[in-house]
Amino acid sequence: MRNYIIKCVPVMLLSLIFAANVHAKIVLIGHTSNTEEVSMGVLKRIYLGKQITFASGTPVEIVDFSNGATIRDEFYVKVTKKSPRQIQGYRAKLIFSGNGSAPLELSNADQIKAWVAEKPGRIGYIDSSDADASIKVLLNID
Amino acid sequence: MKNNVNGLSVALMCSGTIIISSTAFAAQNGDIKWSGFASASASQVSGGIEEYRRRFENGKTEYSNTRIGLNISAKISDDISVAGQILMAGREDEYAAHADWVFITYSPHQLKNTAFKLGRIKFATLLNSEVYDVGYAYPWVSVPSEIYDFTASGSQATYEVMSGANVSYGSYIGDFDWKIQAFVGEADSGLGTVDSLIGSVLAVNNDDLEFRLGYHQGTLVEDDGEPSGGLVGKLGELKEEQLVGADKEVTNLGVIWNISNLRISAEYVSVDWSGGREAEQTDLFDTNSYYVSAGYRMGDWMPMITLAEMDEEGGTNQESITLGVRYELSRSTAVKLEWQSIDIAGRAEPLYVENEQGDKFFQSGLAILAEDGVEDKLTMINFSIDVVF
Repeated sequence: MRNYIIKCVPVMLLSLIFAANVHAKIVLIGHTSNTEEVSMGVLKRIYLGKQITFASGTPVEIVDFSNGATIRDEFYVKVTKKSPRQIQGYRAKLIFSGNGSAPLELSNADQIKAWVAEKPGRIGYIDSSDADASIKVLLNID
Repeated sequence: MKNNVNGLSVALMCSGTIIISSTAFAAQNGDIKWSGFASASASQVSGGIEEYRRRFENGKTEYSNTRIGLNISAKISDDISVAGQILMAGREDEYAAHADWVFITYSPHQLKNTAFKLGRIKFATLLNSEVYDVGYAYPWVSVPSEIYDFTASGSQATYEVMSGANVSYGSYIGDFDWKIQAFVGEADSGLGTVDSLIGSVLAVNNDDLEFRLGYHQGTLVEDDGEPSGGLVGKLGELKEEQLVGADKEVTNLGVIWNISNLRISAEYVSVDWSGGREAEQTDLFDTNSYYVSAGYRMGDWMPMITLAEMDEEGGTNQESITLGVRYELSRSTAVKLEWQSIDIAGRAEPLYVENEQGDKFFQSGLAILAEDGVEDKLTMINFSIDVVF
């Protein structure tokens, strides 16, 4: 029994360490007709409300997962380097000064894919495992 | 008493919004979106002169800084949107709701990142002037009064809103985003209407640094509105009497710097008056104001210290030190507690001072009260719960 525990503990610890480092692979998605090139820098400016069009001048519309969703927090940390609370404070300044509005919030990947697929110019983010032919993957976010 | 009851009622109402805020920041219906903010605030003032305490009674807890705001925006087309904000605050001794600002924005997609605004627009020059009422957006219970005081005895550095037009353009260089705005119109101040208002603001920022430089000028014209009552109203009338027709130039510089967990912010504003009925004495009302603040984030807590000063050339000098802490109760709720010590010094004894030519002019600010030998030091304890929803 003692040997069993000695063997199992390192395996369990390694599993925990591995699990803690597993993050969802997030992808930026757009309409299937979207041909815009979106870099991480441009994406950051769009989601911070500093840029309201693609490089071509086409108006861009964005969508968020609901506040508190893990994928939303990971997305903003990776793209904007800001914590969820920093984003909340940033958005408060933007919205309550009239310089911007909060993005539409949807609660799951299916809703986001359906919304993005409705209109060119719309973008959103989902877990890469949820991507399918109804949308186009514009950027891998890592 | 009426004010206290109303204030308490609003405080209770604001408390209720905390529950809402934990679930949503904005609700949306198609292209119409609404958001809101609220601050339930309590303050207690000890010592000090009655005038400075304004509505506050010595040693009594007041709730009059409590407020709630609702923001609505609607997208009319890809290029045109409208936005407005309803605010209910106890600033004028009543909690009547009013339209804080409302404007139309035209952002032609052919002119990338250019926006034209027309209407009643939040004044944008200072770091916090656009979010003056949104407690959640800044670390203090209230923004430093040495700069952000709209009353007659304030620095006259900024306004709550302006009516007119604003054009902005933004772009970026490397990691730095920049945005320049130019505006024209008029604004209400504690002294009356400032007309022929024209100015510009440059804002530059990256992930850690935010820098803002602004300049505006205008002319104080006689206000047709009813003067507010009491000594504050009388002060305003007398000061306006001296400054009506005078031109003002305001220059401001502000910075917010995040160095790891350390947050430093500082702002400086210079207000220069010229011309007017008593042109020779007008520069006595010039003010130089600043604050320097440092806070350190430790998880959900951020203790901070702020030093501030407002120096009126021929009148009042006000200095304060504020020790406070902000606690993030939830993602949309901040709780703040502050201790503040304020020193006020009047430079001149008489209400009116004669110059060499025998002309009498009004000595501004709180100096008229200092002559009575009243206390010139007071302490404040401030507490607030700020939410966005």
